[in-house]
Amino acid sequence: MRARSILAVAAMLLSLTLVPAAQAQGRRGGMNRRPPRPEKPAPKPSRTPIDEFQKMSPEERQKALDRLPPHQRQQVEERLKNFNQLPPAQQQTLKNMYNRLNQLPPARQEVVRGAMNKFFQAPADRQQAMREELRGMAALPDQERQARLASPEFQSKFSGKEREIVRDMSDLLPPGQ
Amino acid sequence: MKECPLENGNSAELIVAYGARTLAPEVEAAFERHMSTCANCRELAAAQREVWSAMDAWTPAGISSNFDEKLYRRIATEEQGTWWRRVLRANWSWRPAMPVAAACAVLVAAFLLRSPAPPSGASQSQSQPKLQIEQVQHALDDIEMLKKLGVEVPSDKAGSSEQI
Amino acid sequence: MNPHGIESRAAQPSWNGRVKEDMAATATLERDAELMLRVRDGDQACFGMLLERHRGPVIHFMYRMVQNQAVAEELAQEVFLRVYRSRGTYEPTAKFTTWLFRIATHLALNWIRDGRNEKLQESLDQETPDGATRQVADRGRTVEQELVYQAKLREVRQAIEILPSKQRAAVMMHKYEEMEYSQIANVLSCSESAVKSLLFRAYESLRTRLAHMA
Repeated sequence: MRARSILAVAAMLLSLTLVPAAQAQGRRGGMNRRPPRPEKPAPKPSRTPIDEFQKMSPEERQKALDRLPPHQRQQVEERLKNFNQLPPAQQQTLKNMYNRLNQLPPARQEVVRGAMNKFFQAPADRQQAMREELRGMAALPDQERQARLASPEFQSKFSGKEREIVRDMSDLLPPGQ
Repeated sequence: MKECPLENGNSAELIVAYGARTLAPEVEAAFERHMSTCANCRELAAAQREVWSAMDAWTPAGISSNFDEKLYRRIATEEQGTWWRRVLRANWSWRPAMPVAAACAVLVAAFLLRSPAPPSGASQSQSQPKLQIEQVQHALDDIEMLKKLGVEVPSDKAGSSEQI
Repeated sequence: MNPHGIESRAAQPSWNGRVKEDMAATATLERDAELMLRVRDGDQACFGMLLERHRGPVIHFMYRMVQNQAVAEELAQEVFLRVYRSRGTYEPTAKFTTWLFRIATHLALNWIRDGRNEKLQESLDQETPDGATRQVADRGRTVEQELVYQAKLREVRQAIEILPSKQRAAVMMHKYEEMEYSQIANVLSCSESAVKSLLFRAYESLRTRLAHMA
C-alpha cells in the first residue's frame, strides 16, 4: 500500500514536470527548431480597469456586475454612465492621470493620495490657486517645472504646506517635453 | 442642601451633572439655592457649564458619501477570500487522494500531448487574470477623485497619442 | 440615591422622564440586538439598517478621538467590518451600542497609543473637508463672529486633545453620546467609580483650560 502511494506520487510529479515542457515543444513544432525571437511589441498605453470592463462582452459584464449587491451594482452602472458621458478628451485625460497615479511606486502613490486629501481640505480659494498653478505647470517642460517649483514667485504665492501639495500632485501631470 | 458639596466630597459628580443639566429637578433646585450663598460652588458650576457649552460648539464633520460603498466593497473582498481560506483550512487527508490525483495528472498530460497547441491569443487570454468588479470600483473612485481635483488639462500631450 | 448621595437623572430610575427614556432605550436595545441576530442568520439588509443607525455616532466619536476625518472614517470602517465579521458568534449579552463602542474605543485608543496621530494632525483651518468650518460658515455669522468661533473651537479641540486618551474617550461618550456611567464603564471595561474618576479629572482639566472663555 505504502509502495503504491509512493509510486503514484512519483508518477504525478513526473507528469507535472513533463507537461509544461511537452506543451512548449508542441507549440514550437519541433525540438531542434529554434523558437523565433518574439518581436518587441510596440509600447501600448496601459488600460484602466474601466477600459477592460468596457472591452468585455455584455454577458461577461453582466456576470461581473451580478457579483455585487443590487444597490452597489446600480451605483457602478450609474458611475460608469457618468464617466462615459464626459467629453472623450476629458475621459482620456482622466484615464492618463489615473494611469500615472497607479504606475507610481506604492509609497509614492500614498504620498500623492495624501496630497490630494490635503488639497480637498484646503479652503476653496487656495484650492483654486493650486489648481491654476498645476494647470500652468502642465504646459511646461520638466526642467522648467522644476525651476518653477524653486522660483521665488512660487515660494511667495504658496505656504509651505501648499507648496508640498503642489509638488506632490505634479506627479499626476503629463510628462513635460 | 444642608452642607456644601465641596466640603462633603460630593462636588465632582454634582458639578458634572449640573453642567450637563442631568440633575433631577428637585436636586438642581436645592443646589441652586445653595449656590446663592456659596461663591465657590457658584464659580465651579459656572465653569462647568461653560465647558459644556464650549464643547457643544464642536460639531462633527460631514461623512463621505461613499462610506457605505467602501465598507461593502471591503466586506465583499473579505467574503471572497473566506471561501478559499475555508478550503485551505479544512482538515484534509491528502493520502487517499494521492493515487487518484496521480492518475488524473497522467491522463491530463497524455491528453495535452495529443491535442494541438491552442492559438497563442487564446492562451494569453486564458492566462490573464479575470478583471474583478472591485478593480473597476477602485478605478472609478480614483478617476472621480481626479476629476474633482479639476486639474486635468485638455491638452494632455501623453493622452493624445495613447489609444484606448 | 447613588453612593455619593447625589440624585441625578442617570441614577434615578423611578423618575418619570427617566422611565420613559429607559423604555425607549430598551426598545432600541431590543431592536439593535434583533437586527444583529438577523444579520447572524444571513439577513444582509439588517446589517445595512444597523449601519444606517450607528454610522454617524461611530464616525463622529472617532473623529473627536483622532481629530482627523479621513482617519476617523477609516477606523469606523474597521469597526463595522469587525461587527460584520463577528456576526456568526454574536450573542446579545450586552447592549449593542456598548459592544459597538467597545470595538470603536479599542481601535481609537490603539491608534492614539501607536502615535499615528502625530503625523496626521492637521491645522483646524485645513482639516475639515465638509465639516465644522464649512458648516458654521453657512450659519450666517459675520467674519468677526466666525473668527471668534474658530478660535474657540480650536481651544476646545486642543484642550480635548491633550487629555489622556482614556479620559478623552470617557468624556466623548459622556458628553456627545450621552452614555451613562454604567455603559461607559462597560465600554472601557472598568468600574463605574473608575469612570467617574476619569470624567471628573477630565472635566477638571477642561475647566482649567477653558475657564477663560466664560
